[in-house]
Amino acid sequence: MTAYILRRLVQLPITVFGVTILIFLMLQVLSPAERAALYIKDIPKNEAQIDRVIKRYGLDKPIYVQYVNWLVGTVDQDTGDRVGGVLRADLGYSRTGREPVIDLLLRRLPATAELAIWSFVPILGIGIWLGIIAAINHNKLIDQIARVFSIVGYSFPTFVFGLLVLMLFYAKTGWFPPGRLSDWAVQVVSAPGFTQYTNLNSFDALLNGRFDVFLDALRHMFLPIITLSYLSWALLLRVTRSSMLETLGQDYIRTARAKGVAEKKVVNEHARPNALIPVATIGGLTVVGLLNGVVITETVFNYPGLGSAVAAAAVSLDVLTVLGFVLFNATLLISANLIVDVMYAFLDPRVRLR
Amino acid sequence: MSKSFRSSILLGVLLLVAMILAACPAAVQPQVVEVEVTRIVEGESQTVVVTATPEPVMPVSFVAPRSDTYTDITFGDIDTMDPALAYDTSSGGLIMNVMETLIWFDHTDATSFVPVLATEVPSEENGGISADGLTYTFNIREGVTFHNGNDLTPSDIAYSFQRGLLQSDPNGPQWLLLEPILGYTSGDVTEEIADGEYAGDPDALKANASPEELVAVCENVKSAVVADDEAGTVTFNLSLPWGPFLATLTQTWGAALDEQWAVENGAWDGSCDTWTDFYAPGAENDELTGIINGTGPYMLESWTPGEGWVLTANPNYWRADDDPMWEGGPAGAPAVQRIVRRLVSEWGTRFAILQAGDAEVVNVPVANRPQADEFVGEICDWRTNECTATENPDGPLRKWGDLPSTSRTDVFLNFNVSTDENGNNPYIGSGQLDGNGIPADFFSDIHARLAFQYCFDYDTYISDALNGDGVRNNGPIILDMLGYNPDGEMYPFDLDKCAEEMALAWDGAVAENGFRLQAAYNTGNDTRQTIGAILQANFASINPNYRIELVGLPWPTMLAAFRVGQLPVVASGWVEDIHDPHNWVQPFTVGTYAGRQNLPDDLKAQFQELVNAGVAASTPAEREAIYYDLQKLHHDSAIQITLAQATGVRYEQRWVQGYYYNPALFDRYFYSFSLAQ
Repeated sequence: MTAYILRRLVQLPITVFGVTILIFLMLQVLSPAERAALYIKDIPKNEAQIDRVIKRYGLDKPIYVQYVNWLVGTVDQDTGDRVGGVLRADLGYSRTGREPVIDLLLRRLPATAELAIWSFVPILGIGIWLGIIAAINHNKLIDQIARVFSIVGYSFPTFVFGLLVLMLFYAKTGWFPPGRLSDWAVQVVSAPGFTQYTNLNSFDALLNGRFDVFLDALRHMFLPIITLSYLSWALLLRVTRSSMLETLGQDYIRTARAKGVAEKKVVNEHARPNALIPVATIGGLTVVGLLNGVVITETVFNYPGLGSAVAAAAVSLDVLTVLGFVLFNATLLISANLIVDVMYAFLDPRVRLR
Repeated sequence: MSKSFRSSILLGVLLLVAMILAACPAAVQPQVVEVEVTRIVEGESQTVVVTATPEPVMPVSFVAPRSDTYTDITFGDIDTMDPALAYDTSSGGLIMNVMETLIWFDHTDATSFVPVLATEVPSEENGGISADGLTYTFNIREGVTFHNGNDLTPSDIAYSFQRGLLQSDPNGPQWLLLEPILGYTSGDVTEEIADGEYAGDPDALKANASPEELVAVCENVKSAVVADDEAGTVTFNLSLPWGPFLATLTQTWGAALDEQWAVENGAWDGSCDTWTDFYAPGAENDELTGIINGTGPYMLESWTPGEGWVLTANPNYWRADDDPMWEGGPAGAPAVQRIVRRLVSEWGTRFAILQAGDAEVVNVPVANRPQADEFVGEICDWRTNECTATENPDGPLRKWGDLPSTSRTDVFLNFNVSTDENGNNPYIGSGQLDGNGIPADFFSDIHARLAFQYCFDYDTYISDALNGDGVRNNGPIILDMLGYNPDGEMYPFDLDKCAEEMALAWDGAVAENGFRLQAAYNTGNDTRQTIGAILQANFASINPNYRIELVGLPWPTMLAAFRVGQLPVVASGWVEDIHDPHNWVQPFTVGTYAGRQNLPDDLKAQFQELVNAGVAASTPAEREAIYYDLQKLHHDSAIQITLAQATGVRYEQRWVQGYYYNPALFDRYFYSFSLAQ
């Protein structure tokens, strides 16, 4: 097992390096002038700046020089210090975020993490539960309902579902507003007496004894959680159901039943653990997807997480922010993949023996 | 179902109920009030007092749910809070409410001014403007304090302008001040060093310019803007008479900084030895990008990039209750205590917020106006301030319509497109009048240009591309601006005239052989694509051999081709910097666009004479006459197809009071607002 983990750990930086090359090459699709134009506003009045930007950032230099500069930075002629370089956590300046890209990512991460944490339990818990219920009631009414529920959820565009629940549960009733906190709650959490332990508003509110702020934070997250959950339940339900059905058809399950083991015990102790092995992969990727920011959900609900930041950057052709996000996303995905694989190896010994 | 599962469900339901209860407003309680009634008692009348419990008082319509907070939902974040660097309307919107300028616009009038940090608007009559139009002197108001408590002095104002001019960031607005004050047309304060070779490049400037040259630049600036703290004045010594100078000073780049505060926060210290360290910094390196300290009615509480900003009323605002900003205008402390601007990019979300009543105003895109119209209870006219009820008089929204924008998209015809050494240009086909192209100088023929004027369907453009919200202009100057001639001629849409002119073009060769050219637009810009499609369809309708092909190009590619004069026909837009005709006639007839259209020298010289005369003339009447002539020349020479100025709309909750429209303002001036209680 240790050898397996070590082998996977060695692969990690190589994969990340490959990703950086891919990301950099994507940037090279644009000509130097096109890339320079991304730095300049009000171009009709400032077009002379394009040539200066090309010169200043070396956009016309050979690709490998630009790649090395992008990766490790350049030496400032005045101070002699090395500046920039993604390996030095300098991902450039975000035009849309009005701050360094790394600061933007770190500032937006807590909001996304908070949403992911609160979404995690309903998505996995209810999704898996529905899948198991559907499987053990195979071809019965519950199974049919679950399948219809799953198909509708899977085919519902996030954007449409999000706007629908927003209109129903906010525009008409005022119950669950968009955003992260109400204006009054923002004033509370920004006040000197409120300690930001985690930058996760709901948890900080509880730690500060402000149940009203806690409720307000949940009110704002409720519709995004419902949207994310419903659309994720569909996939989890289908995967869990089919895996469970396959497991329930195995010989060892038939043997257990033949031995007179109670059906509840057969399902919960014999079938479910094995059926959940493929679900672990889907679950792991779902969590990573949540942590990377859910672009459409965050945009529709104006939730200030990573997803809405990258959406704003993409619309404004803020290439540096998008690239920084992609790099962050890729690193997270590769790391999470590693964790899922290791977990998989724990759950299924056949994997590590291969 | 296990016990723990049931407990979890119960907890979830309880939380949900708590969240919903937290969202519910307090119920309206029946009120017990004493009322005085008169009862007729047999024989004589007498008054008795009885206590009555009336029906529950329903909430009065159109009362602000949050009595002290105005919430404004839009998109587009600020770029910087440094007034010397800010050159976008979002940044300007924040700065104009927090900082103040010497003078300000007189309510809805974009061409007359009221004093703010100055005690009066300078004029020749009051001695503020010299007879030769080269010296402007402002008497600075006493008793004004910045938000941090520091007193405003004339030196602060001089420092603000000197710092801006020396900062001279190429992405900033300083070129607007450099031209009148120093006579520089390159937009850079280092214009005289090596012919401006190091403009916008601080490293190259420091490496190549001599210390003497650098000090000279700074001293030149300091002698142009001079403070006299004892006399309480600031004097601008211009390099040439400049009609729009007051209009230029009125925008946010003329806002007063607190010198002491700025220096304490790392900005330029006022020394001519150090100014190059602060030259062309860009927003990311500017010391004052994320902080602000002004004298205005509002103070910045917070700015969260990408999410919005919050202002709070300045409790020590200097303006007295009996000193309205203009006649009938705001005075004393601000009426609204908090201004919240939230950025919401998705229209559906903004619309939901508006419907829920959680915002006073949201930005409504043109395509979504019909959705918002359903909730409009009254429509108001910004010119008269009069409102009329709609068919839905209880609608919660008020609509202000026909707000003229300060931008316009036009069609530019190139008199002589550039070609490579072999005479090729990808946008003119064969380069010959053989039916498969046009010669490079196709539009040097007035008949070809006139045909394009007549073949454009202006009404269709306004209805289709501008959703009906537009008004046609008759020259570079926009509607209602000084110099706009309401009786000026306009080319009608007339296919017969178009055919006639085309028959005359190039001695009949065009009509005989036809033509083929490519009209470019930047991909994703539907308005410009529609413009091309209108021309394409109309020319094809009069002669199938008149072929216009539409080419969608990425914005930088189109820009590059436009810059080097490759595009024979292109639609492009202009957004004004200052509300003055010079800001329109200069780029359209002698500057940016004239260069890209390769206007012939003799025509350009005619325009140049009028442009120079217009900007130097000191009285509005004199300027108007000159601009009338210029617009006439522009019409007769048909150098551009002048299209329509889009008109805007504002939707606000009906409890908002005090809104007014002034086309020169970047944003709303919140000081004039109040909320119905």
